[in-house]
Amino acid sequence: MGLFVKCKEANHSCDKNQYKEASFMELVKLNIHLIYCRVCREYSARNNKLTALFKKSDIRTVPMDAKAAMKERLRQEMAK
Amino acid sequence: MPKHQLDPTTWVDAYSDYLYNYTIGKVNDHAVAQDLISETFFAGLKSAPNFKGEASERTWLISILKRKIIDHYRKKNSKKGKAEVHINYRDEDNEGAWLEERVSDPFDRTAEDTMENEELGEAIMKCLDTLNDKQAIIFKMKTIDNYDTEAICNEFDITASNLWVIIHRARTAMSKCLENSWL
Repeated sequence: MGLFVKCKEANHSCDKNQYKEASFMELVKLNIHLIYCRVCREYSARNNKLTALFKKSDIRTVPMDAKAAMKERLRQEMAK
Repeated sequence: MPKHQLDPTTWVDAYSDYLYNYTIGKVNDHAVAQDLISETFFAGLKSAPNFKGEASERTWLISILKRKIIDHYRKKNSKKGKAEVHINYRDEDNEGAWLEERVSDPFDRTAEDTMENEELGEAIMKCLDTLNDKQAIIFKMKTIDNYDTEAICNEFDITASNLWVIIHRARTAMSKCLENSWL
């Protein structure tokens, strides 16, 4: 296949890249693909923006152990 | 037959993250926020018989949480005056340094930024609600908590390619959901 990949693979690399998990070769192939594929360019742009939004929003999740503690307390209370 | 019903066993998984982000915006303290949410679930459980089923579970819990937040600030304010802060302006060593302390910090986030971020956070949490449970949990672990791919795969007993398919679908759904107002 060489340097030219299908859209599916390109999008997969793009997804991976959002978490900095794409390899160098994957990024090269992705960028080559983006040169000639408008659809994937749009997908990549949106995907990058989504990542940026998450960074900006500063949202957090309740830590796992705190969740477990809440569940446990709630369960005890319900058992009463 | 009421339209909505309560199911307290699912509350923590379904709503704690949403309530947490809502609370953080109002109280700015993680420990306090967690306590308030925990209390909210308790209060919800206690007053569950009064639930008429007109609002959705989440709306109902939010309304309890709002009371809890107000109570929190009432309590805090009633302690006012007991803990006084003394600022010593007549310190020999840094005479006049307090002036510098009071200059506004240009790199500080402005109120507008904070407000916008709060809105963004709320929009994201609402969109996360539209994903199915497994998608939402995995997507959150990966995107917000930055778990390793491997760790998540082990936790849910799925392969890496399964994970990426889930992530891909979640991301597509999220960008579609956020498209109109934020992307």
